[in-house]
Amino acid sequence: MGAMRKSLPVYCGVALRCIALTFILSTMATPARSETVPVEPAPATATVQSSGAWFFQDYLSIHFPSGIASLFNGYPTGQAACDVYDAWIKSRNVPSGPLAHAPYTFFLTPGYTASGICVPYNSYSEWLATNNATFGMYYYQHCPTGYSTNDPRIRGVSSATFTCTNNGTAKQCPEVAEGETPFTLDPGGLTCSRPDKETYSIKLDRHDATIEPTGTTARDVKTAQEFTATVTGSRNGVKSGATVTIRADVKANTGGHDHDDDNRPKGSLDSEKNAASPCGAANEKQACITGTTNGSGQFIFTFTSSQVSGEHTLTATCDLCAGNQDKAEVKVMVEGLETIPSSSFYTFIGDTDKHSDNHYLTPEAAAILWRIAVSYQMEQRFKLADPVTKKRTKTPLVLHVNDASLKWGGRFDVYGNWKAPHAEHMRGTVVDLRANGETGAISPGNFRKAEMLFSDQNTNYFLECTRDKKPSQTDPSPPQHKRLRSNLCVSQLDGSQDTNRHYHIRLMGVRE
Amino acid sequence: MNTRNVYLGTLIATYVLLSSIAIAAPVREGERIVRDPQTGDYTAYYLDDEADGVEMIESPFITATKIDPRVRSAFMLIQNLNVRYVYNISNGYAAKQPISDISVFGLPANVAISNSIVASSNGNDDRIEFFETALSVPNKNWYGSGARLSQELNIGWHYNNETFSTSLGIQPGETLSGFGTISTDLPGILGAHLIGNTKFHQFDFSGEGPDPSKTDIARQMQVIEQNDFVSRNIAAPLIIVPNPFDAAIVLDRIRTHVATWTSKQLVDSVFASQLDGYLGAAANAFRNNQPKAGREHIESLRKMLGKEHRFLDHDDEDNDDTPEHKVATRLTIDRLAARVLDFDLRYVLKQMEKENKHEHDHDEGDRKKER
Repeated sequence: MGAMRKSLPVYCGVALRCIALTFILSTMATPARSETVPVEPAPATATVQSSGAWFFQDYLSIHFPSGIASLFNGYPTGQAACDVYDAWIKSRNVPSGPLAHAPYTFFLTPGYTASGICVPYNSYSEWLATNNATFGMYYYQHCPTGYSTNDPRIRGVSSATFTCTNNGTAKQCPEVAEGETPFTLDPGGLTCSRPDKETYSIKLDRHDATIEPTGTTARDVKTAQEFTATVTGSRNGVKSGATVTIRADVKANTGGHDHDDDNRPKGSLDSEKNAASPCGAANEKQACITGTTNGSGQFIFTFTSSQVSGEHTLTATCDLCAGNQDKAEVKVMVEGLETIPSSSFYTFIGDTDKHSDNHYLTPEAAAILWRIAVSYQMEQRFKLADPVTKKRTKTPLVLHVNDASLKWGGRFDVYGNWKAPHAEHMRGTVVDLRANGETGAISPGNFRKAEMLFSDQNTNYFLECTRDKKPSQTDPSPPQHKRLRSNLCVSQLDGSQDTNRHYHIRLMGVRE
Repeated sequence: MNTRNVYLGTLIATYVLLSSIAIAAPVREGERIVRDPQTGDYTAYYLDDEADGVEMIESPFITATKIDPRVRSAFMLIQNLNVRYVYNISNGYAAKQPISDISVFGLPANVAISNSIVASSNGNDDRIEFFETALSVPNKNWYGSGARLSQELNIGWHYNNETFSTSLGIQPGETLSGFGTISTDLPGILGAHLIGNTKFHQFDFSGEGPDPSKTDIARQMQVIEQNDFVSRNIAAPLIIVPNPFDAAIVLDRIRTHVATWTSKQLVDSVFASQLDGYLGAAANAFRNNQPKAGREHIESLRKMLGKEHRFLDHDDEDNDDTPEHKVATRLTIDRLAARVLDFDLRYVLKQMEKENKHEHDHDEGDRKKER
């Protein structure tokens, strides 16, 4: 007994050490990720072969240390169980064996499919007999979890095929395709799991940005933003060599434009730090690039704005990412523009269906416009001759304020075709004042005085005439009006007055 | 030092143009600005590619500098220690254009202009000041204008040209007086912009003109337009007089302004250094409550100036120096500069005299009480 006791701890200790080592190794490794799915209802019946795993169970173990039964479980044959039992007896310095397996139906209880005993117990029985104890051992097989049987044939039958019935709690895991890793039932019996396949995702380092439109005269403004797209695997971290595609798009009717079409500029994409090439349709070559991730799993690219303000969306995808994508919103806008405050000294004109809100300026520029408008109304030199008294007592109509800037600035395309004119009006510091002879226009008699007023305010200005049309393929000889400012925009060819004549005022004194 | 022809507008334009070309981005092929040496006018050739196709546009510019202006500044102390400024403007016989505009840019933002009208708009805090009535003009063909901005005050006198006739203004050979204003602030020297009468003061084209984002030709054209004037020195209210009067502060401000005269070639550096020394000493004396010493420094300064130019206390710019004296002094200090400085110094003395008299009146009253 003492010798047996010495060996048992070794065995246990070995087993325990093995178990512990396995546990430690499993914790050091990357936590296994698994694909987990709910269990499915199991079939109503299950067929069980009695020659399955044999379990040693000592039904009367007063002479054996507690817990012994748990050490001898799961043998493929009854004889294998007897062999282990034999070795265990010997370890206690009790003469024994060899032991042979034999069927034994006595003490077969419900749930157990068969039983057997290990014989002979000659010396061991004698040992037991002298100690007034009985000993029996049986091996059993049982229905799978959730199944039970009342089949009477199982009693005393050591080898048979019998049917267990699903008692309502039996579950099973979903079947998988051939070659795939099967699911196993999780403890608790509610889910089934199997190890994950490697999956990839793409992430941008930022999801929003604000930059200015290009093409203005401003210096030191940000018109481009760098982004980093990183491709990462679920198991192995960052992924180099993944093919990444970046697309830029722009939301319709944003930035102050109430019109939209496929020709709306979307900005441009480029990459200096990764090899990249354009992609997409012919009309979006600049708005789509594709390339591969570097050793750090990164694809670094730059989005540069166009001259047209608006809300842009960048979409990042990768070939391995199976539909996973990431997006960023980029606002292309000139910040700080506000609606020109309403005033009794001017009125607004010029809104169209393409640009319904065309009166945005910086607050500083708006203040200068207000001073100009007030002076134009209040100062004597602008008074017109009263038709009755002939005296200069008639106050002119308030200034009619035409296009300033759009809500977010940028290119103000008068004709809704994303092109100039206007060429300026981009940063909330330029405004047009009517001077075309229509209602509220600055009259030609006041032109020079108005120019001195503009000059006193340190603005920069010019009288603008409609640009002469150029020859085109469709119309090789269109009328050239030759409307020059020195001629007050009156055509030198046909004497027609330019109905678009206006004062173009650079309120801060610079072209923007 | 005679009143100098400081800078002709064409010289400025040419200088700035050449320097801007040197540092500017290259223009596109074929783009250029050509100056006609006979007329002094310019023609710009630039590529207009805003619409479909590209077209070379020819854009003429008639300069407004074909004038030969002379400005005589008069400044005098009137009631309540206000200063009246009056300008007499002549156009030389050799001029090819009438003078139609006189503008003064860059006066201090808080300089006082008497008789201006300040108004505010209901409902907001915006205030605006009108200068039409504050600027005197020789006749009804002219009007005054101005704008007080956050950084500066601009004023001007302009011919009321409603017909775009280029024959209106101060004609060649003509002199016109009566342009002026009144201020509580003291004169300094500033360059006024005098502009000849052309129908149009900009390069002539249709549309918005060349795009500076594509070519530098537009910036160069703008430089020419912005420098299309002839500059002449005038006496203008530049030295802000604090209320209550403080001699040390005023002398400091005079000293700061005089320090700019060397770069404007109004005074040579040696003389400027002497002036600076006396001005600083005078200011410190008043600051340290040593008015007698302060007055002595001022008188020394006036004597220095008087040695260079005679009759500085004449309020107009009639140069009563002898021709020999003019030649002898032209390298030390400009006569207008000397007049301005002498006037400012006399003003300080007058203010101190006024304060001193006030103190004496108090003393007399006290003595009577004692009796």
